[in-house]
Amino acid sequence: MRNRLLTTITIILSCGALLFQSCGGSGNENDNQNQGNTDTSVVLVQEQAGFVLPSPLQISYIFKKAGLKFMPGITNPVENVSKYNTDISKSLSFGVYSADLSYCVFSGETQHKLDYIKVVKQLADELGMLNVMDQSLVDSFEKNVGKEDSLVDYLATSQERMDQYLKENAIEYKEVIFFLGAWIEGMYLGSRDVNSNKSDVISRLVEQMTILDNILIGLKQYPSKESEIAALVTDVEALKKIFSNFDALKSIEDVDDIDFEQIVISIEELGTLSGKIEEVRTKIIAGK
Amino acid sequence: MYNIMKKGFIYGIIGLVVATGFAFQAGEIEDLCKSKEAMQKSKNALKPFNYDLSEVTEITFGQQPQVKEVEVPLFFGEKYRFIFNLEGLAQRVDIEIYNKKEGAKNRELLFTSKDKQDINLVVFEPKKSKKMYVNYLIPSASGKSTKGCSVMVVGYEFK
Repeated sequence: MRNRLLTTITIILSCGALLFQSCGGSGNENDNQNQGNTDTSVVLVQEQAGFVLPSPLQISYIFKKAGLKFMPGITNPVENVSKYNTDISKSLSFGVYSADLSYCVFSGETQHKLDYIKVVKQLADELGMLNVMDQSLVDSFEKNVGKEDSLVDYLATSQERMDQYLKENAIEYKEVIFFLGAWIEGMYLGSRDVNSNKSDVISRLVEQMTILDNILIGLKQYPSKESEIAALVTDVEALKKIFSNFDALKSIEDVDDIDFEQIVISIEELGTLSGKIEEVRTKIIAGK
Repeated sequence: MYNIMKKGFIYGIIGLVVATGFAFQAGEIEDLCKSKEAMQKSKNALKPFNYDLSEVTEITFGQQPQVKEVEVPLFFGEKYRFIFNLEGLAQRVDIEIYNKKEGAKNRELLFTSKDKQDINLVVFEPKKSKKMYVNYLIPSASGKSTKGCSVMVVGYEFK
């Protein structure tokens, strides 16, 4: 009886040793094999490329450089903040107000800058991103409100903190919602100024449309399947369709071949695009 | 009674062996990623460019070489600087940057780190700004299996 027990224990320990060895699968034997196949074995290429999204601040800066003029009264009123009650609507409006803040930093009046920094901080706090725009950063912003360079630094710092916060908490997927809010607002502000027919602003608007593919991927990968996400997917797909129907793009196979500095779109096409942008933006700022 | 004790003893040993196996497995792949430190160093190297975006790409050296591609939006007329911090990797990972995605027609190589001896910190400033595709060329594991990360920070010139 005792011998059987010892035999059983020996078998178990032997299996354990094998398990131990196989767990260390990258031991010497395997390593040599691996070293040998670095150049000859099949290279695994991921099916879908990853992507990163630009900061709303940079988009505002690009529009400003293209000649976008500040128009008072077209940003989302700060009083609207009380309308946003769901996580998605708060996240979208965080993006919208971030774009408004950037717009004001580049060309607005002092009071606008102060109003928008407060509302962005409020939403960041409500979304649990307490460190993204902490009180010391807001105080520094208010103290240096007349210095554009300093304000740009503060906004870049808050963007860095947000990227870090999302990474550390493994919630990077939320970025697409913040970004979409900011992107729609940036496009809305840009399209409101195209009546003056600034070709630089128009080509910038068209160039921005190339980000839609990645926004769409981000939305479709969003873990929660709330109806708000489905509605956003529908809106972004509609915008993408408008973009692909531009005459100037119909003959181009690969979007990476487009020379945006040379692109020309008709007044009608521009009207269709800005109309849809305004429609989506109206829904977002209404918190619906 | 003896049988019950014997069974308990055997199950105990099985549990111990399995737990040891899992513990060994969990501890086997060493993670060398120190993304916070790498991010700070990268941001320092970015100056005087303005922070735009960053990405931490997790890399595990496996049995086969791999390519990971990341699309980076750049806008015409702007000046950009890319910083790659590859300190958090046990093996050399090279970077290639293309004008088009993997598999696209007329894809052109715009940058490679292959000619650089020190690739802990790689800097790239494109001559022309357009959407770009960063490829990480990850070799198969050459020793103990490890994982780590590459940190990419992109900035734009603010005038």
